[in-house]
Amino acid sequence: MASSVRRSDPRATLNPTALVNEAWLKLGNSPRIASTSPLHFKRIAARAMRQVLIEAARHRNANKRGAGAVFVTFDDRLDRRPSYAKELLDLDRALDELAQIHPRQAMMVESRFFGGLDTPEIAQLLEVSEATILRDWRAAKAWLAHKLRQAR
Amino acid sequence: MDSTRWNQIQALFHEAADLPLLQQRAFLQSACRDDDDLMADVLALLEEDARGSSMLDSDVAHVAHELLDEACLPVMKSKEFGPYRIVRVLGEAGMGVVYLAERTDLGHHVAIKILRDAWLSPARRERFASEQRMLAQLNHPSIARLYDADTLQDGTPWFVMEYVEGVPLTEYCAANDCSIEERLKMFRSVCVAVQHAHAQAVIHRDLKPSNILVKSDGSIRLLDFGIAKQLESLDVSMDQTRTGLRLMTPAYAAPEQIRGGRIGIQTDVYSLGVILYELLADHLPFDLSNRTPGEAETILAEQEPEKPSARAKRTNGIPSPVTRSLSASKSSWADLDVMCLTAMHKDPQRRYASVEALIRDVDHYLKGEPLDARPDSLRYRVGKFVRRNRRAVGAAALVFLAIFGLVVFYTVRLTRARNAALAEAARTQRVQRFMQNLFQGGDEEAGPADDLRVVTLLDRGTQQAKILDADPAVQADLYEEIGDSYEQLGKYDQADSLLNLALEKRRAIYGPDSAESAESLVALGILRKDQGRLEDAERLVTEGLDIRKRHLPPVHPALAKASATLGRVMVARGEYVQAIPILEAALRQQSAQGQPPPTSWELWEIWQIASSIWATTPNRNS
Repeated sequence: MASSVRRSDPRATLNPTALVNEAWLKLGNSPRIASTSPLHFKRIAARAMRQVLIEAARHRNANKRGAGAVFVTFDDRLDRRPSYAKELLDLDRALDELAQIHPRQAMMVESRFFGGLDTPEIAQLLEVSEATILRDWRAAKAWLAHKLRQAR
Repeated sequence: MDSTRWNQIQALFHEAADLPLLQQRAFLQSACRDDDDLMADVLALLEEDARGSSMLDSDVAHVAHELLDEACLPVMKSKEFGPYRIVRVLGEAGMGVVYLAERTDLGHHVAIKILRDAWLSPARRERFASEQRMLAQLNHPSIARLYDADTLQDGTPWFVMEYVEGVPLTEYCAANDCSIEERLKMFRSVCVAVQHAHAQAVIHRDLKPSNILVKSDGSIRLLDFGIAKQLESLDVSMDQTRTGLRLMTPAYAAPEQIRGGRIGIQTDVYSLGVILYELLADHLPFDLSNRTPGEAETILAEQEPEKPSARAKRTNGIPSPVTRSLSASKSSWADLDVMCLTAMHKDPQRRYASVEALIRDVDHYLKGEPLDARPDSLRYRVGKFVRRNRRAVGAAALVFLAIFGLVVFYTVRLTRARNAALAEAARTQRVQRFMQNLFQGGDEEAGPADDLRVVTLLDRGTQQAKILDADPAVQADLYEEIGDSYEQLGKYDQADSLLNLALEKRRAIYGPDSAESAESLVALGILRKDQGRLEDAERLVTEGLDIRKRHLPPVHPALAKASATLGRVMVARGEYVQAIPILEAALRQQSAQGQPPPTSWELWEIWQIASSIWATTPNRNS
């Protein structure tokens, strides 16, 4: 082992990712975080996570189209597989569209997918029953998946 | 699409989704009628629902990982940063990528760290810059040195630092089978490096063996100040602390880092304690593998670690080379335990106050001197136990108190009952002896005489009773009974003296206003009636009856007896008018108690006599 930094520590269970780091940094800029309830905080964290991911995806996508001429990649990994970046950007647009026709469902998807909130938490947050959340999730997920497929 | 349309689609989707696949189309055809678009939309949803393989079905962490991996490890087109030429990637650390590079003119190797995705946020760039600032501040042979820093055209910052070719501390010790002394000496130099950082007000916050490399010459280098924190820095907002917390390696994190509490130099002391533990025991204090982050946090914040000496001996039963090299006497292990657990104390205030204090104790140990640190006192541990288990301890104390109270209560009650029983037994015994003496006349051999007369018995009884001074209550009872007997035999003088004695004694023992005194009063009253001293009789019986009335319920045999006696006295005095209601009352009482007829009949007769005499009296108003 001759590197000054190891890629990952096998004993680490909280594997730090640049993403989580970024979301926390973003949240730190919101002054009222400290006074919110844990649930509401998770909701805000979900929003932050979406913003960070979309921002990252947008940047990746721009690089790929050749806008960032400074960087090239070591390997051809980027071209081997369908781009997560593009799919995330499509998801972002589809979520915005969903927010127009059914705001509650859009908020639910954001909390669940980007924030990792579970069904009881979302039910409490949106003040509807868990059964409603499960129905909404099924329909919204199918619709978003359809949108993503169309956008390919 | 608008909300109405979407609700329509959803409704049909949910209805159709639960149907068997073959019936779905038929159902939709009838439900949608001519609206082909509607049907197509619902069918598309059903198709996706059945497929279930969109991005939304995967974990966001996975998506994020893939996304960030997609364009991972960017590098200069020319692969050159100023005078440095990139050789290869060494690894990733937090927000940065570290490359091995060669200085083209001088030929030596360096490590170059660049901030990945610098465009993401100013906060990100600020954090990178602060790491760079702190490194520049630290000038110590055991801390990887900062050489150079610059920014790429697109604003990506990078800096150059000493390239350390070495292995992590723990791996080095295991590979070289280092003795405890060697390990402690190396640990000491780590402490000196950390102490240097503290002197510059820099807290490392991520001390762990993989950040401490040992070079081939045995010297150590402290690396990665990526989440270090400058004390008293302007930026002390919460996100800094939280970021540090989230990026921390949990196995070496102090409880206050886990909880998001105040971070100080004691935080690094804790991590050093964990490193020392690992060096001594060859294991981490807590096994966090296969734990969720939440579980790991709970364990670190609450569980007390096993002593390193005990952990070292318990190496799965197999004596490893490490345990062989880790031999030390029992008292040395005791010191090592105290040193380690003091550094690792859950309460930052009870750890070594500074790394310097820890170094002092390492030196004490190496020189064989007593340590400054003391193990937690019993009092502290008990107090801590109580605080930690406040509810349980409270409940246990309550249960204990309840049991204790019950035991005391029953003990007292049992003692009282036992004393009463003993007194009763003693009295019975005395009465028994009295009866024996009474009949045997003090001559045990002869036994009771054949011609024993009642009067003789009573005379003997009186004598016996008089020497029973030990138990005045029994004595009084005997006087009363014997007095009654004399009275019935017509021996009024003897009866008079005994009943008077009984009354005196009872008044002395039970008080003048007692049931016993009342009984004696009534008995003496009957005697006076028989003696023909009717006025005295009336006074005595009335007094006895009044006491009885105050203490007894309206219906009671003693009350009936007293009333009947008074009635007879009144009849004897010729006071029929007053006698009649008293006798009636006595009769009512007796019938209410179901007394045997003879007593009642006798009273009944007296009452009839009184009534008839009164009826025939010419001057009835007098």
